[in-house]
Amino acid sequence: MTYFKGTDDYLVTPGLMEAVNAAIILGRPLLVKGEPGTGKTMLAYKIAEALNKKIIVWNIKSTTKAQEGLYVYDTVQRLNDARFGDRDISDIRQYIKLGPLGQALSSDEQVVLLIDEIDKAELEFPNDLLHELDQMSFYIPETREWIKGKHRPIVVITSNSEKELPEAFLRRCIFHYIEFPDPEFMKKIVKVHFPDLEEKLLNTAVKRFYEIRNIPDLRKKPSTSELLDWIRVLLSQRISDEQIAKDLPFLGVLLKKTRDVEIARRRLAGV
Amino acid sequence: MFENFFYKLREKGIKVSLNEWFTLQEALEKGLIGDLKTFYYLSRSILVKHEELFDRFDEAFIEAFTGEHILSIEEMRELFEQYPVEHIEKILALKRGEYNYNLEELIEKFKNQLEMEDGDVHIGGNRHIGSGGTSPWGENGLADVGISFGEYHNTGTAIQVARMRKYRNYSPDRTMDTRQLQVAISRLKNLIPEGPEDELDLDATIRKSSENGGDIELIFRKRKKNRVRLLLLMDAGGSMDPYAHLVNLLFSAIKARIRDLKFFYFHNCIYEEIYEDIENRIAVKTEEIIRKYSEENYHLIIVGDAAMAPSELMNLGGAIEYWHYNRKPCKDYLEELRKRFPSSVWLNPENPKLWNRIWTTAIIASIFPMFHLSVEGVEEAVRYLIKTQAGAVK
Repeated sequence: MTYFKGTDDYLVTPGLMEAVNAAIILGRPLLVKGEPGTGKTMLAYKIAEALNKKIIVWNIKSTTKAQEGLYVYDTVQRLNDARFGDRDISDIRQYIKLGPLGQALSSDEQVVLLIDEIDKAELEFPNDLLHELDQMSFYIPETREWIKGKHRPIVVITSNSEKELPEAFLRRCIFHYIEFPDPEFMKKIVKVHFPDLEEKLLNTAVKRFYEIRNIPDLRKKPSTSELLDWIRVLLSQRISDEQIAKDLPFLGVLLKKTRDVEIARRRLAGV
Repeated sequence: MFENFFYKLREKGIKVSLNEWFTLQEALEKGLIGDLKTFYYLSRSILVKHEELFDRFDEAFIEAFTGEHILSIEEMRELFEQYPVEHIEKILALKRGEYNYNLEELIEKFKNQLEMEDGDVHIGGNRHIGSGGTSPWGENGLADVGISFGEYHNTGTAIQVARMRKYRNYSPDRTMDTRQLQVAISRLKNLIPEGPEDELDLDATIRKSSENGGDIELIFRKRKKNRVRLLLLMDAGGSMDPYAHLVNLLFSAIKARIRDLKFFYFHNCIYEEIYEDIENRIAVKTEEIIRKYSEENYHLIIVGDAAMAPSELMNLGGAIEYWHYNRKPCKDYLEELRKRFPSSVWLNPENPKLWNRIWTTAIIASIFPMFHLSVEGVEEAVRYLIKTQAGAVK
């Protein structure tokens, strides 16, 4: 049986691991929320990698409609072809293009389907997916065809809580909230990316990082990826851990807003 | 089987649906849950869908799975009979075949384990079988590659994890979500063509193509975007304090759905000035607001309890602030607003049964169509606004 345990470069907590495996075994969509930079989107890629499955990505925008996930009937192309007569337009099938959900359902093998940032879409969007996800099938009236799913895809859905999701939809999901890692776990993550990093430098950099994160009125708190970038820069410039403790070199890698940089300097530099 | 837990959750305001409860049972049947710690994480993933409610979940978990009551042999037998033997073996971390317990021996072993565990955390008080997993044996197998213990580094049992109450800060007070309000408000629409011409205009295409004698010509048009405009006036007077939460919900729902939103505050009633920022007393002229926004086809929503001293509504100089002498009574301003904003409503958080009994409320309700500040009330109010929208087909 396929069992997800994280990968060499993607560490998971037991809670997340249980949620992923339950979603796979119970055949329910996995809804992942959490602060930016906690690896919500990455999770789907890593599940695909660990279980050796293909991934299909559906990036949701504010204008995305559920129907587009199933298929799009390219009427304009057909009209155009009718005009120039260079294709047999009576075969409608060639103008039906399966969307990400349609592809995931009709795939010959089980795939991972990532529905990224579902909260960007209109309020009713998640409800419009319920039937297809439950029944694993949909009808294309244009060709009078039923598309029936062969393998239930592993569905990973991410949300940034911009909008609240409908209860009927939530009831069907397995939910996991990825917390921002604590310093101990963060050190493990850093070590995965920089196995040869000196312990002293690691400790100081992580300590400084959390000091900055804990400044109350930052507009945008730095996340894991920014910490990794920061350490990369510190290493390439051969900055010593004393310097990091004393000063805040390359602060711009961690903080992207001028105002935040100023606040952090005032609070932490030279202290 | 875990009914007590189910009711504890409901008691804490986590409305677990039967659908979700069956999913948890299914997880149990499929052998996904081998110990109490797994049970903690999985039941949370399956039953709770808002991180704000995690803290309440922790509370329910602690109350359901720890306690003073020690199971009698009879109670335990009852529990065991509802479970397949293989599952009990799994919880006790017994290998199949290696041991061949009969039910009596199994219960005895389980009871011993519980008593052994009955230390600080009162695991022995557990009413439920799954708690056997709080013992160290269930932890096996977690320490594989890429896994750390606990949610980050904690190595405790499920009860200890729950006891940490890490989610205490996740604002658990969320009795009513803004979603229903948002759905109601999103019905307010004023579609205006905007942006690049990238939408196929089917009617124009057909017309043009037939004019061309069948030679197809594609006509594109601008997409329509929602450009609804709303002026929101909110009462920030003391009598509104009990409804502050409700008004906040409405406000955040409106803010989320309507981009062209202008909002101001007033204190009990509207006089020649209203406030952009009531704490810092940054004021603007009411007449200017009326002039500016009524010309731009704004809808108007006033939120207030409409309860005030009659003099505040009717008299000159009746304003609640002693330093403020109004030269026009509040009622005049309200009538002016109503006249200039044909698409306007008053939302009142007070119980509608009381409206007629409060003199000023009755007067204001005769000026503005008044609706209750509730999901149903807002739905009705929005229907009214749509009906009276400038250019609406009557």
